[in-house]
Amino acid sequence: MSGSVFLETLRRSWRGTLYWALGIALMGVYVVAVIPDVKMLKQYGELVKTMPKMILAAVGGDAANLATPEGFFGYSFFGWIMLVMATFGVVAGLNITANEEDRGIMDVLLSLPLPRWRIVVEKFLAYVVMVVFIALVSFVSVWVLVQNSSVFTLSTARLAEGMFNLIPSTLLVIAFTALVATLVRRRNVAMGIAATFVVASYFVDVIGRSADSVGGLRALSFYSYYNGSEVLVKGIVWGSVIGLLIIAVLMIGGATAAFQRRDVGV
Amino acid sequence: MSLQTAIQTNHLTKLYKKGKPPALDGLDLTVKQGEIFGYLGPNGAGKTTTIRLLLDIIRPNSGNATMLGMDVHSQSIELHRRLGFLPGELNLWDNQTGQQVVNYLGRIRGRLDSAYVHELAERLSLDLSKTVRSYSTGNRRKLGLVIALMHKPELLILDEPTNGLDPLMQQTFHQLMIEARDEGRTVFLSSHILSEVQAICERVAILRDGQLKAVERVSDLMRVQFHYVTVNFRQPVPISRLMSVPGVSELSADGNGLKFKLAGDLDPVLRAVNDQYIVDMRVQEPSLEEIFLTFYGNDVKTTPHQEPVKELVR
Repeated sequence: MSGSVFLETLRRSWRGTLYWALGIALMGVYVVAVIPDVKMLKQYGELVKTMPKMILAAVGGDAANLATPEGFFGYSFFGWIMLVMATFGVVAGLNITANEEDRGIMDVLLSLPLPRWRIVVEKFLAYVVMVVFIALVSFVSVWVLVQNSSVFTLSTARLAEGMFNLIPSTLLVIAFTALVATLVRRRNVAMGIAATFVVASYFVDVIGRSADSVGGLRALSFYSYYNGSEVLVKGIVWGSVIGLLIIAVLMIGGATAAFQRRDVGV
Repeated sequence: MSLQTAIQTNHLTKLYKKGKPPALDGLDLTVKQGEIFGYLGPNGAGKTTTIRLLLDIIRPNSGNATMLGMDVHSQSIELHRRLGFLPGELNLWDNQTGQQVVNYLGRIRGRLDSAYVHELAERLSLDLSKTVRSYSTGNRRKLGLVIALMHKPELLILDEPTNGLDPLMQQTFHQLMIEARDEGRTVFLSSHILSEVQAICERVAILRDGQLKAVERVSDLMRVQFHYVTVNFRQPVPISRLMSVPGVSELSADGNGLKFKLAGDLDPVLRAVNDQYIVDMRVQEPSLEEIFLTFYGNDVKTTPHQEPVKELVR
């Protein structure tokens, strides 16, 4: 039956996804809750101006923005929460084919009237729903706290944009991991490559930010298109969002084609 | 393609690594609809490779195969609706209950006959409410059998189906297979347990080093070949009395008795000892396993087709 893999993936993963969502939401809530007042933020902004560029770049910080609630929240939450989301992406990407293939479960699935492409596509779609759910829970949690904060104000629209901005990059990591898993066939190898991709992308972005001479390298990193630390100040860059989503879809297409053609479990 | 053919392979070949011998080498095999067909061979002979090729889990380097008249690759989805499969090593989702696994796989199939699932579980004494993690090896096999049988497929492909099942459950399994055959369904089972094949299969294929060595009716196999003979005399008889008798081999003395393997008629043996008083004589049929071992001990190369077994074992 069409959609059975999609629904089953959601059924089995909803609890884990809820924990991820609550964990990420708690981080956002924590950042909002610890901000004392706007005056202190300005002092904090002055302080970080003295910090080395490399350290600021590590979380995508901008000293001028850090004196504002938007800048501080972007720096303290969106600047590094993408690493957490990317970890979720690697875990999810391995679940698309690698885990079941590695454990020998795929033989049972492939003996059913189930086209291989449906396994890849339906699972990916289930993870799209889960990523959206995580972003939604995070948005609602932070928004509720901000509404009740006497010292901290954030534009609801910008906060929504910031949370939405997590989605394309996370989907890209899921798709990349799924593609690698279908190409290399070994779960542990795929996990290693995907983790390297995430970490290397992060550091390429950091190095590109901190040294103008190698700034062009940032184009190779999905973090530069994510640009989470500035999304609350400057708004979402729809071109980057669409670009990341197109690449994610192409990668899932590649994963589907590779899985369709090759031997499984060899 | 005859409508009577359940499985047909044509020069099916699978090579996993270049430079290594093929895991399956030019397999030509025909399984008829409505029979229980045994697929025999030691570990590494190519049994599981054959099954995975038939299920389109892996793809052949050359050759092709059809099942129920459909190409195993291009028509795999339609074909898989009509077959049930039990892998040799059944791995499932450890944190799911047997019932959840059955429900999921049933939904993929598009239909689930809950009453029949519970009937199967009851016959196999399987508690579906437990998680897969808590199942013993035998219970996992039972769950695998429920999954393979629950949609009453026309063709069953079972890889080492009774591995881990206790003797009572093996009997139940045999009964289920016989019922399936009586309903006109086909069973293709791989095994290295010859007594099982002997008990339920009509025909067997013997695979070795990726090559089909023989296909024969089990009843014919049991009729041909040799016997084990024990003759007890009133007094010791030297083994030299039977050494030159045609067909006698593996000759040994045991007290007043002589034991030997006889490939041929009994009359020359009796004539050779006609001056001795025979107290007792036992003629024992060899098991299929013994035939099998004799077969494997023979290095005669054969064309992989019907009827070579008689020549080989004699």
